[in-house]
Amino acid sequence: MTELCFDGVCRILLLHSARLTPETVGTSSARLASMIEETSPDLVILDGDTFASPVPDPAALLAAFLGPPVRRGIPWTCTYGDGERKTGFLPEDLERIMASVAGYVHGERAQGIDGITNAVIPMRAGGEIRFLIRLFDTHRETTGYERDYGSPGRSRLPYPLYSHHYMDGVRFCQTAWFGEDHQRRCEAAGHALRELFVFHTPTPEHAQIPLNQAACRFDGVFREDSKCQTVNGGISSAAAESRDVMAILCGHEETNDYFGQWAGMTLGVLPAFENGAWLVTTDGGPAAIRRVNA
Amino acid sequence: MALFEESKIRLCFDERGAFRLLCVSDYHAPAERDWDERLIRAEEVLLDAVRPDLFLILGDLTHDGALDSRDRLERYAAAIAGPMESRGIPWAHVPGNHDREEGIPTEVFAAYPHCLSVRGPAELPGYGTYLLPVYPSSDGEEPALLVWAFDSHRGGVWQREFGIPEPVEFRSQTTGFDHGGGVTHRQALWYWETDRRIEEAFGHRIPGVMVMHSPLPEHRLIPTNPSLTGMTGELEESCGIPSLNSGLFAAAYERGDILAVVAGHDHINTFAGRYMGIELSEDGSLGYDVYGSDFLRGGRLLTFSEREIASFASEHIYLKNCPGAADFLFREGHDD
Repeated sequence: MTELCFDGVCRILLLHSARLTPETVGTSSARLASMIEETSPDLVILDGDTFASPVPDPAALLAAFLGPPVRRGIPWTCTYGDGERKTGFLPEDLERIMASVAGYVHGERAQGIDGITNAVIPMRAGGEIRFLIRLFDTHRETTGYERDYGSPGRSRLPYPLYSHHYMDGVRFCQTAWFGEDHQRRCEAAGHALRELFVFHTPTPEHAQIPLNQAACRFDGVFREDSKCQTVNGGISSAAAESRDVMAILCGHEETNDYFGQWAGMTLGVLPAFENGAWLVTTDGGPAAIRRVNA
Repeated sequence: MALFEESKIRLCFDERGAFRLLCVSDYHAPAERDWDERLIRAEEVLLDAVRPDLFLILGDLTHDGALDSRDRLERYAAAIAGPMESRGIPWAHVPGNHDREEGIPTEVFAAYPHCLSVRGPAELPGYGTYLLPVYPSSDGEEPALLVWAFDSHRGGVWQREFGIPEPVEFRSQTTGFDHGGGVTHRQALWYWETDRRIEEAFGHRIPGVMVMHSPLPEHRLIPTNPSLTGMTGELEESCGIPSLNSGLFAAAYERGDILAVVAGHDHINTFAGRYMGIELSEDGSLGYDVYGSDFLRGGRLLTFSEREIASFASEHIYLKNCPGAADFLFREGHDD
């Protein structure tokens, strides 16, 4: 499945860090069932770290976890975070595991750029594309970034610009893919297309929201230091300059749960799944966020 | 589309296989009175000491945007162009945050025979983002080095050019303020796409250097990590980085062909250091109509060897160490 249809207002249940294990999958699936019951979403997005450690029979675990939406015919999709890289699964294994569960929306995948889950999901209503969901793969730590590009230097400095956690994130090649792909789609449609970005590791601009609460109309709680990406790939600036991105929603952090306004967009860091999830609603205009308790 | 714009001068490595790029900045000619003539003497002394193959003025040629008449602008252009023109040294400039397009149109400078400044692609914001190829000492149509020049605009570029309605100035230690402007993402994408086309055309990547007025956010990592980045030079004021990060550093890192990024804007910083394999430096200021210091005035010199371009030499050339400077340095003025 590469695109989806909705009526009126689209309802997206967004969660991250389910971190499925045989011991916790029952509790997690019950929590998801409760959230599905409460929100009746059109789409569920697993925003990375669905798996974060080696587990036996991951396809069965995922099927058990996603039972509640699958039984109701609710489609789902996912991005990969750093956790998926800690499972030992090869990229093709991850893809096979995800595709094994009914209702998986694969999206239109980007070719020739870094990462796996770089995809666009056109969201249609009344026969027209109302907006696009764009997923990015945010990789793992900066050591992987350096390994991929053979840096003779180092990204890990005691005084980094943005975060001491040295996370990789949306790289420039992925940012450039958005720029080129978005322009092509808008030209084909004959009008601007609004987009909703979802990926795991926050951008450095997300980290500015809790530090500038009044200017950004901060909403939520900020309990831990930002774990945003260290080397800024420019995705927030690209989104802002396009003027077509309604929100950039991320996960990765454990106890933070906030969103705010930045350069004409909503930037948000949703809570880890054990602490809750978000229901995002939009008809293609501004996105509204409602917290869903765990 | 041609890879490179027609240039009135073909930049080449010299017969010894060397190419010397000298970057200066921040002249700040005032709007309503004549500029301090020490600026012109400073240009002359630097040029005679270094004899660069390309002299780049990295922005803030004027203060507050414009001289008060076309006549004064043309006299000023003639004055600052004179040292390069009389010596036959190619030169170019990029706009800074104190320059305004209506105040110093590129064409005023581009009219000089040795000036290589151009406006650059029409689809880009600003009026000075362009590429200068440097060819080998032997004949050939494949450049050995690329000089990527960026207009870093003035403060508020994102609101003005892209209609971003929300404030983008933040109070934190991790970003700067929007007063100084910065390179936009659209310009970063221009570098990315153009560089890829060049690689396709020649079958490999060509090393390059980026120059601009306002430093990249990543420049701030050098003085905050002086030991680990091998910092040389001086830091006498805060590094004036922009509030938005266009991703240009990440683009350069991922392309893997940028050796150095030189910026101006900070008048009394002359530091250089290396982050993730790329040298980031600031060139101090040369002007006398704005704050500065004769202990620090000068320019950043990059010397490339044709045989081993990646092993370039980088040094801040202090005016105080140049022959002929003693007759005008350390006089009364705006020195700190």
